[in-house]
Amino acid sequence: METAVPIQLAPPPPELARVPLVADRGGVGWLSDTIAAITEGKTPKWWWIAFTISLLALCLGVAMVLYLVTTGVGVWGVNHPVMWGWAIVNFVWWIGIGHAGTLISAILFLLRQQWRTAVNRAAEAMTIFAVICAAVFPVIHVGRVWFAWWLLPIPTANGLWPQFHSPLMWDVFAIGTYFTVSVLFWYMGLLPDLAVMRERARNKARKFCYGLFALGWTGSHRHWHHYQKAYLVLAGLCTPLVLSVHSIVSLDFAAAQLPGWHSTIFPPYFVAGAIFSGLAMVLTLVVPLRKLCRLEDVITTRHVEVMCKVTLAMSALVGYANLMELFTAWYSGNPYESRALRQQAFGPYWWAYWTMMACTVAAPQAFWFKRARANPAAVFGVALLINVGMWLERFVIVVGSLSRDFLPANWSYYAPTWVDVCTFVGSFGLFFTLFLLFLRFLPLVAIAEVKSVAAHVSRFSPHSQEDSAPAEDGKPDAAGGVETGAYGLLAEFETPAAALRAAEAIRDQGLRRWDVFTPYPVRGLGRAMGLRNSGVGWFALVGGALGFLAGMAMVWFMNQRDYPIPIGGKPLFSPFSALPTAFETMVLLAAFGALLGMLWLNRLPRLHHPLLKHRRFALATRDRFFLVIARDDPKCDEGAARKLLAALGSCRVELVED
Amino acid sequence: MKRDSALRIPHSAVHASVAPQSALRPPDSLDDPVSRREFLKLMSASFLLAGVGLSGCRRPEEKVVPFSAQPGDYVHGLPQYYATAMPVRGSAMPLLVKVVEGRPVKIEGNPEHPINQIPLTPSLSPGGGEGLSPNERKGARTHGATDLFAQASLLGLYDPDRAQRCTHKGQTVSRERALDFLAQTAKAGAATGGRGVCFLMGRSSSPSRARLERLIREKLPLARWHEYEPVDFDIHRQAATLAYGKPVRPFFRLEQAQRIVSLDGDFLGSEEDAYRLVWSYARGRRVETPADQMSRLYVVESLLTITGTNADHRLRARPSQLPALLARLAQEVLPPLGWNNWVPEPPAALPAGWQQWVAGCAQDLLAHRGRGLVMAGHRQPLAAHLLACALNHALGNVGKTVVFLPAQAPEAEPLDTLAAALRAKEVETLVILGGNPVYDAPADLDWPALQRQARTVIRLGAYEDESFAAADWHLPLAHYLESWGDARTADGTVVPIQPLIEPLFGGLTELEVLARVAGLPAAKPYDLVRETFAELVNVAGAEVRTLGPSGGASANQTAANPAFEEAWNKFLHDGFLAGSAAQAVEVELAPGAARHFREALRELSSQAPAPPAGSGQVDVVFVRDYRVDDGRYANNGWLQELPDPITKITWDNVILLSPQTAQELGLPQQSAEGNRVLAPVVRVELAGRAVEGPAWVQPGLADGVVGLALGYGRPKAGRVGQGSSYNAYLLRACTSPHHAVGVKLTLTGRTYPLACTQTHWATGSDSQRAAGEEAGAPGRVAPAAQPLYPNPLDVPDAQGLTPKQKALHWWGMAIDLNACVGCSTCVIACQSENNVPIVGKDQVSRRREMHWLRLDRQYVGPEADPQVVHQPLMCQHCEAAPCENVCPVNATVHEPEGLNLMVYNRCIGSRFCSNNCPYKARRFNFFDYHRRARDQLYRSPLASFNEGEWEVKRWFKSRDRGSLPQAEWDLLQLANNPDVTVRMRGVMEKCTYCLQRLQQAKIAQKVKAGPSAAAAVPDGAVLTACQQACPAGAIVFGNLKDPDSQISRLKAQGRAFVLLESLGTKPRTTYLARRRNPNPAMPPSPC
Repeated sequence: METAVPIQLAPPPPELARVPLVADRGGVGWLSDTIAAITEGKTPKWWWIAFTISLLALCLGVAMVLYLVTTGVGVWGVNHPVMWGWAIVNFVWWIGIGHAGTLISAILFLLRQQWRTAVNRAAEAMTIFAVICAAVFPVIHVGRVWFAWWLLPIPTANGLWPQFHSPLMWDVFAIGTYFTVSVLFWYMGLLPDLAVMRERARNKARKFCYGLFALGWTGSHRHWHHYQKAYLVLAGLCTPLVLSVHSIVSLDFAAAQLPGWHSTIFPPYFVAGAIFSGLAMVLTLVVPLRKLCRLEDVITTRHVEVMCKVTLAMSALVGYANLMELFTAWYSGNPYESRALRQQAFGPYWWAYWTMMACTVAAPQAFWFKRARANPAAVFGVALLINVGMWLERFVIVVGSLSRDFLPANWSYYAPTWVDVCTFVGSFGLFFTLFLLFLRFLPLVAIAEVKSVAAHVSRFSPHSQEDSAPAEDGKPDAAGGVETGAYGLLAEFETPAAALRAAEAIRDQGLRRWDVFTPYPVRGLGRAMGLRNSGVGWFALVGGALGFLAGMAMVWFMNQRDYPIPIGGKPLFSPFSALPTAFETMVLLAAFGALLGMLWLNRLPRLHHPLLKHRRFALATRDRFFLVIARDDPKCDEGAARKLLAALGSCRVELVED
Repeated sequence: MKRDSALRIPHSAVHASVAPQSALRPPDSLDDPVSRREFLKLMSASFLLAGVGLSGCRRPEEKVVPFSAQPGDYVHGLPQYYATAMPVRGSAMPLLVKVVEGRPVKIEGNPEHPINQIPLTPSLSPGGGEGLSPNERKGARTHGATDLFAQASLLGLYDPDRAQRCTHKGQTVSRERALDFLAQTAKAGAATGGRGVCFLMGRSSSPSRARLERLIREKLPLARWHEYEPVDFDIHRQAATLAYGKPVRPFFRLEQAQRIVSLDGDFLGSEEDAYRLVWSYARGRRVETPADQMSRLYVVESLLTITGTNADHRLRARPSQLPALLARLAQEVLPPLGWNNWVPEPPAALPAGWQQWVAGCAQDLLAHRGRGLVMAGHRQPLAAHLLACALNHALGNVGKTVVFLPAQAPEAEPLDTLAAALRAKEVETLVILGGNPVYDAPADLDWPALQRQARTVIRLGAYEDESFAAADWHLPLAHYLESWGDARTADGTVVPIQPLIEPLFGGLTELEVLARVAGLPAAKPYDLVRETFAELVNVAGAEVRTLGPSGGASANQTAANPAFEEAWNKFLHDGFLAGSAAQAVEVELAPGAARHFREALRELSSQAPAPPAGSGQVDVVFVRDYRVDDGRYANNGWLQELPDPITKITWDNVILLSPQTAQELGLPQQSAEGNRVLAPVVRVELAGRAVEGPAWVQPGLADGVVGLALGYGRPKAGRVGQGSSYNAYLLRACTSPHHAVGVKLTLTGRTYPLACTQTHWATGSDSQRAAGEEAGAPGRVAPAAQPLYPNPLDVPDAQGLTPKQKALHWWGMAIDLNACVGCSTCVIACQSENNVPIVGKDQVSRRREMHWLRLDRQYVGPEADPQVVHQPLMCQHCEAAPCENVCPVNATVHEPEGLNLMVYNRCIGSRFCSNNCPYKARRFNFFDYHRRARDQLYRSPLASFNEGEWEVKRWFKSRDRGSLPQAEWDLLQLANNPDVTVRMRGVMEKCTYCLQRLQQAKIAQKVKAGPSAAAAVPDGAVLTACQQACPAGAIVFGNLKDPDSQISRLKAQGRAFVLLESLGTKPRTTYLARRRNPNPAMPPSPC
């Protein structure tokens, strides 16, 4: 390992002084060390304790599900008017939490919020695990779990298809797509980091596993080029997706007749609430994690503060929606609606309503104060309150509305049973078990992305004027002449600026078969290498178009053509009610298009790359920049190239075996 | 028993319309190879079915004659209908019973019976009946009225807790030994002329029993006869007999009455033959146009009864206030009629405000002489009944709204003389037939100890209940559905009781035991009934004159007589003996009547005026329960789970209090634990005896009254009936069986959980009022806007016809809230027809009851004295059904005839449909209610060990098998209707408009119409179970496409409205708004 070089920057003028997003304690290589250390060192005691508790909770949950499935839904507290209870509350709550990851990864990416890089990996993992927890609930809550697969659009013995007027079918597609795309997005973000882990792996099994999933990632800038495009496309797809998922979940309620559910405000209200609760959950996780994992310098106070501010904004939105609901109920003059809202606030569940208001609207107001934002304990406390409040919000909507509907003769009270409670605890067990495993085996922070942000404040910026001198040991390799078995010529650079300049020079030489390998995508390098715009977008476009048409055609075929049956007086096929499904299939196939297109264009996965054998090339995923000219390039003249590369500031130029 | 299956006569009139002979051509003879093959094919197919769906088809082959020659009427797989009757106290209810594969599965009223044919009442309609629909003009008849006890008696047949063995001192003995003992008793009795032999029976209308009694009296002249009913209706006969000087009983013709005054008489609920009175009352309330007249009902009562909820004017009075009120009414009515020679008693003192009520009521009666009716309930003393007689007589109502039928004066003595004999140790052998005196005898007799004073007690009992332990010999009583017998209905018509199944537990009938104890030569009930019938037809002379002078002497002689056989067969087929109804007798006041009346009036008016409410004096009223009667149906799960029509409480009785009384008592607010109401437990003390039970604040009760329902708190009733809240019999004394004064109430500080299906009733909040108005007032909400898109059923096909146009029927239902009295018979009928499970008290208290049809009770007006609307509510079969849109798996869909179908096989149980149903008409199987014991619902099959086997293992062996004990499982299988799927856990279910009946009617119609013709089912040819059972005729089902159908006419009425119309669901079920007929000269409610 190289020793870190202390960085000295001219202090910015005081009015521009900002807390840097990532404290620079020794170059981007330090980031690799810090982040990878969480998975590499001895398993800390707190992890074992937390993992044991989580696993026990998970076992409890599994036992509860077994009990439920063998005995009947009646073991829960659901009853005649309140047919949906904690299971659906938990579902909506978990799904809401699952929104923050994609929000931070995708929306903030599009908005160029660079602070996202420190937390997006954890948030995405949280998203995936939360969606898993969420998806468990609607499946186990159905009366006949063993037939839940009838929700899939596949032929069954019944000879009929699912019914696409139902928001539950939209849910199946929305959550299915969201989960799949979230996993794709997360995995794609992991690719470079898996390569980092592969290079750092000390034992064979780890190396093999990481290597397998890294798909042969080398950090080639030609790869980075498509990768960035795919990432952008996926972010662009995820943004409407994340908005659609909770909109559709809200339609489970808004598309129903029930007073208190049947409301047009629900889609934006639910999305805001979801992002709100998701951010709160990220804060709940990140605040202790940065302490436990010693990541204070990577996930800094500034990150926490920014998230607090966004949370505050979301709280305002949610509060506004809450009040707006009351206003609309009053203003509409609909007696059932106004009664429903009055019952929510002053009926048997008044305690839930006012606790929800206190937790989601009042408590986050603390974030107006920097003192609160900067105090981890305060942030953690408020975030917990928000989580509780958002759970209660779903409770008020689901249970409060169902227990008081049109005809008072139907009214009843809902109370959960111990099975409800234990199942909910079990879902935490599932979540934390998965999250703790993730913590131990995968990088908690997106290393490559943080590196690219860190580079802004360091001398590693491609635009930094400071040029590093060739290293002392950077002597040209002794071996003269290109041997037959050689793959090409490898030049190592210490700074992205040097690599950038070298790339420009090589491009000007008119060479074709060469590449630059960087630990993170260096801005401007693509132009410097003369790469054309990536074609990944076309793959996504074709995928999306196919997906949309397939979705529409599927709904039409299943509900109009193959099994036409009147449903609730609605048209057999309506593009409007098919739209949610078609939208989700569109996003799904577009996301697959982007990812597979990226892999196709990059000729990935590949099992082996000659450069990976090279002793120094491992640094390409750490903090060094390599320019490689393949031997079979027609214009490659080895001697001239060596000279040129040395002149361009390469600290060492070597031949690589094939 | 071989004889039985061959001799029962199916009721072809009904099944001809449902199951025509040509549907499946029955083989003419087994010699014909083609038809024989066909027959075998059918048989094997149905055996296959039997193996899959309905295991245990109870036709024991060794006992019943197999169809070696198939009976002419029998088509395998199609149900048969037999006419029979359910005996109840001094009356009976004519029934048709649907029998499938040799087991009764559904009970319906017999529409052919004369009691269900009420003549038109032109006097009610100004145009001489022009306001009546063509259907009604054609013939005014019910579909066969029943009550909920009759409907639920089917489950009683299959009750596994019924007595199944003969016992001696609690030990099982063989049936032969028990019968031997009866023969010994007979021998011993014959030797002494019956000295020391006492019979204790319930009331009965059976001619055979009366005949046997006569025979035994001749044989055993010294034997003593006693009759006891804890709830007895004989008072009507006693008063009439006293007034008119000959044995008569009143027969009320409410359809003729325009003004009805009921004095504590719950004739729509707990009086005898209420099913008939409901029907005749509803006839008088039927209106088609706003101009139509309807009768007016005045009710004075202490508690809120079904009759009270239907009253136009209702006065709440404590029982101790009623005599003065009645006396005052007489004093108002009689002088203007010239009956003033004995009226000038000092006017009865009335509480402030009541005078106006009584005067208004009296004026109304006087203005409708000959068209009014005054009734007193069975709880009222003889004096009140006499005064009611006097009023009716004076008003000229006799012969019009009330007629008098000859009645046999019972020769039996009451219970207290038996008690005296027992106390004096004069009883050698006590024969108890039916009845459960240890439980329901007056508390001051201390019956359990008293019964031990007899040397030998022989009891014939349906259950091994409270009286079982105090009997030396116990014989199982056969259910009426497995017995031969006869009875008389309210109008005196003789009806047969035919067995429809081999006695499940080898039970004996009352007739059989009576004959054996008496040592009569022929002890077979079949022979006994035939002999009685032979006498009857001979005496009646109306039917068979060829019997000759010696007819009726013995069954053997008559059996040879073809004319008798024909009459007998017709009797069994029709279910009644035509022309045997009692003829109304001309009555004149007996010479001593005036004296009786005067004494009655003096007795009533001279009673010390009751202290006003709030003075601390509390009266108690003992009432016959709407669900378990006097306790005899306590082990019937359908009845136990039926919400009480007034309180909506299931599985328990409560101590009823008015809100004000509760406040005076300092009764704490009811708390709740989830949906389980925790009612404060109150101690009720009366004359040194006390019971403790949950107090229930019931709007509409008179202040200063507690109501105690009989029939609960049974220490030994069976698995279903045991352990409910309290036993009101423990307070009941011989002297005051119906009400008593001077009750002391104390709070115990404890609470008792109650399962109530409608907990939100408090009037006053605007939401409640809105719901009440919604039920009562049409047109309050704006009509739904036109939808943006056409219904697929309205989209024309290539021929230009829409699916709706092509549909032969547009099914629809109308429920006349004006006719519906709230008796809840429809709920049980639906439960029986559609295999709706019982879920148990715990599940009901979690609001998981499964009734497809429920009665919503709406209060309108002040909490102390509200008006009540009963609203039957089931799936409304919306044309734009919100439930369908949200089902992800197409499990609930629509069909062109307008039915909202629920397909159990497809349902995965997401329950979204229920959430989106604004009527909440759907029910969810939270557990395997059909297959699991109610106390084991929460036990996972993974951890259940039953009958020596792990549940999981048993499940692997047979997936359809539940965890119930095998015997119980087999019986439950028998009770289920094979035409309706039994639902498993995890699926949603709801009212189907009795889809199975529609399909059967359509198939029958198709068969009738031939292959090419498509013909709609004629109006009235298909009845839903609730419609069929409704004694009021409030539910009408039919084809909306036929503009002349009754349903179309009803929907066109101005009273028609659909529930929650503003939601645009377009229900096919229409309600006809409740109308009241208040007296404009009177304040609506004095308090």
